[in-house]
Formats: sequence, structure tokens, C-alpha cells
Amino acid sequence: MRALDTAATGMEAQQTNVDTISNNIANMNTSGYKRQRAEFQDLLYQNVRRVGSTSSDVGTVVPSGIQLGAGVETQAIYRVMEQGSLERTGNNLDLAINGKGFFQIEMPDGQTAYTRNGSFQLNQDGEIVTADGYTVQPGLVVPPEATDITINESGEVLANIDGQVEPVNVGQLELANFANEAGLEAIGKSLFLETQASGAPDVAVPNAPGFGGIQQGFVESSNVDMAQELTDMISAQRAYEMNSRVIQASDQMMQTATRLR
Amino acid sequence: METTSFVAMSSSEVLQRRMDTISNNVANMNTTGFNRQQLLTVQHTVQPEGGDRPVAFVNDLATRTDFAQGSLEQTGNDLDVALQGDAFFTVDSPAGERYTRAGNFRLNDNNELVNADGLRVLDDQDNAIEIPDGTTNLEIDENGTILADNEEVATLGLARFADNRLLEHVSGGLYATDEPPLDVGNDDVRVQQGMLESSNVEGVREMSRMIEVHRAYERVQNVLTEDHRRMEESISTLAQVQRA
Repeated sequence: MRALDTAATGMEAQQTNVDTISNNIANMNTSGYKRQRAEFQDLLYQNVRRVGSTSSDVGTVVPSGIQLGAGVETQAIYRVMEQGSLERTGNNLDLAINGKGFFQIEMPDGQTAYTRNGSFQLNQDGEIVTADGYTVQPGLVVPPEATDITINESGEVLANIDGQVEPVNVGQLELANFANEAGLEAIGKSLFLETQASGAPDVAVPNAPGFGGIQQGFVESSNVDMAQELTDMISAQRAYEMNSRVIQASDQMMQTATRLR
Repeated sequence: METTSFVAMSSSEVLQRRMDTISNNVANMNTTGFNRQQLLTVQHTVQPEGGDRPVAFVNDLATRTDFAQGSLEQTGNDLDVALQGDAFFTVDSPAGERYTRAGNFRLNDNNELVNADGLRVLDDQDNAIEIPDGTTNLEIDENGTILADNEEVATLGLARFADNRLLEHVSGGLYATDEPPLDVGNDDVRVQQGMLESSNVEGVREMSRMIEVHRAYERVQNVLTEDHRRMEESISTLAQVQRA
């Protein structure tokens, strides 16, 4: 009797569901976090009697055959790349992207990673780096005598020097866009890597058509909707419980059959 | 003399299949676009030799898929679509056209609209749907017309069938059939963007059916046990030789 295995796949799937929801809730306050969503699909079907097969010599056709399903499997866990709300921090190196695009970060091994988390700092050389110390491409150095840093919506970094009226143009931040953002590979620390599924990055200046603008002094909160996650968790828990009852019932049925004398 | 046992066995076999069907429904409670199945049974009447009355065995006739509308759940994803009404999306698989209610679509790296398994979604001309690069605003209206930055790209290919019973389940939320798809009338079918159709499995109903099946199974096993005991007793009683 396959009901036991089928219900076991159901419980496994709901376990994955709860794990995903739990990760979302844990990252509710992570800047630039994009929530994940688990999607399921049914497994193959066994045709005990095929649809449309003939049921007698005369050629009467069986209108719908007997198809027994084998359960459920996780189809995909994908990221919902919805824009999170912008939260004001007043920090002049906190940048939020309003629209599409990712900051480009240079990893220690030379690879380029992408992130939405714009809480940047200055390192000891005056370079703009992430909170982990990775350089924000293209590697901008703010002069040590700068009193103030202004970053406008198009990503231009301007530094005000004491005694000079005109601000110094330190450099230009660029954003990268992907055809399929959900195909990016997450490596933790709010960083994503390019994959074959995501497509090659398309780099441009912020506020170009199809790219978002940069807001200085803001961070992008996570796009986790607490009410949605709790509701999903409740339905996952109920489904888990029901699958366990199915296991209990089929187990008892098999016990009854075993006790036949 | 064994007719009772055979009738009871036919019932217990069908009950097991019914349990398998309920179990598959419950396992797929949270699967997008899943339609629950129901096992239909019928009696198979036989006139046993030497018997005076016909005996009815249990036979399972078919699994019927219940195409009732599932509830719509908002996801906020531009590429998620749900269908209201009797229609299916069309996807292209290596084995031919397949149909599905699950509208959780994505873009692949060629900017084509694909389902979660990577199968291309077809438009009403049976072509793949390509979204232009750099589209910021993607809208899908109630007729399934896709607008990228307010320019019409394609219309989703929706299919309807004269008899939904001929649809065969294939894994991955897909249905296969040899029947040609019919055009969908625009009155009662609507495409909703940003929403997904949940499965139409009602947990409480499936649980109560499961309890019914369980109890019926126990009753049938009781019949088998009693029948066996009757045969045992009759053999041992009738075969006793009375010493005169």
C-alpha cells in the first residue's frame, strides 16, 4: 500500500516549506534580504488503467482511467525580488536602490558578487567597502580631508573638501541588471553570484532606463511580509499534521491486515 | 463457499486504492494548481454457480479529477498568474503540448516565459513568449494579454476541453491529452496577475473520508476473520465422528 510513502513525501515537503518560512522570518530585519518561497509539484502517476483504453470487445472506451499518484516533491525554492521599503538611517554611506539593479562587489578571490544591501563603510584607505570589507566596484577612494560625502541618484560620488567651493568628483557607482534575477545564486552575507540561469549582467549608470536610482541615507528593508509568513506557516503545519494522520491510518490498516487469522 | 472471502477481498483491495488516492491528495495539499482525485467504485454482479442469488463484488471504475476552482492566493510576483474559470495554460514539453493550472512562471536566460520546470509557456499562436530585454513594467491583463512597458508582446495560450475527464495526469502539475484544445470564450475565464491558485484539496473532508475508509477496512477484515472462523468451526464440528 503506497499511502504510507505518499504521506511521507507530503511530510518531507511540508518540512521544506517550514524551513523556508523560518529562514524568511529569521531574516526579517536584514537589509536587502529577498524572501524565498517554496513551490511543490505532484510526482508521477501510475496508470492502473489507462485513460481512454477500451473496456470491452465492442470498443467501449473507459472515460477516465485509474491513475494513482505517488505524492509530492519540492519543485523550486525561488526568491521573490519585490522591492523592499526604504528606511531612513541618515548615514551618508547607507545607500538604497529604488528600482531594479544590484551593487557590484569585488570578492577577495577576484569574482564579482552582487548585492542589494547598501550599508557601506570607509576602510582605513578611504575606500568604500561593504560591512565585510569587500570593495564596492569600481573601487572609489574618498580623500581623507573630505568633510562630507554626497552620492546623488545617478550614483555620482562627490566629496566636499574644506576650503574648496566645488566638490570633488570621486567616481561613479554603477548598477548591474539581470534578465532573470531569480536565477542568481545566494552565497550568504547578502551576496549573489551570477549563474547560467540568471544570464550575463547588464551594467549601467543608476537611473538609466530599466535601472533604479540610488537613495543616500536610506537602506532597503527586507521584503518579508510577516502576516503572509505566519499564515503560510500555519497552513504548512496543518498539512504536516494531516499527512501524519494519513500515515497513522494506513499503518493501522496494515496492522489489521496482519492480524487476520 | 469461498464467495464471502472473495467479495470481502475485492472490497479491501479497492479500499487500499482509495486510501492511496486520499493520501496523494493530502500530500499535495499545498501544491499550486493541484486538483484532487476521487476513486469511483462500481458493483460487479456475478451469478455464482449453484447459488440462488447474484453476488456483487466491488470494482474500482476510475479516478475522477475534481476540477473545482481552488482559492487564489496573492504572491505579489509579476510573473505569477492564476486562472479563474474552466481553462488551462499551455506549455511545450519534449513529448508534446501539455496543459496546466499552475501559473508560477519565470523567465529563463533567453528571456522566454517558462514554468517552474523550465518548459516554455505557449501563446495563442503556439509560439514561445519572449519578453523584451530591460522591461521594467510587466502587465498581464484579464484576457491573458502580456504588456511589456505598455507594448503588447503576446497573449497567453489558454485551452479548454469538451470533456475534462479525458485529461491524464502527468507529473509536474501537467495534464496530457490527445484531444484538440478548444478556444476559450472570454466571458467566464479570467487571468489574474500576481496570484496563484492553491490546490482544491479540503483537508477536513479528506480526513473524514480517510476515517471512513479506515473503519470500512476494519469491518471488511472482521468479515474475513468471521468467515474463516465459520469454515474452521464447520470443518471441525461436522467432521466429528460420533461414537455410537
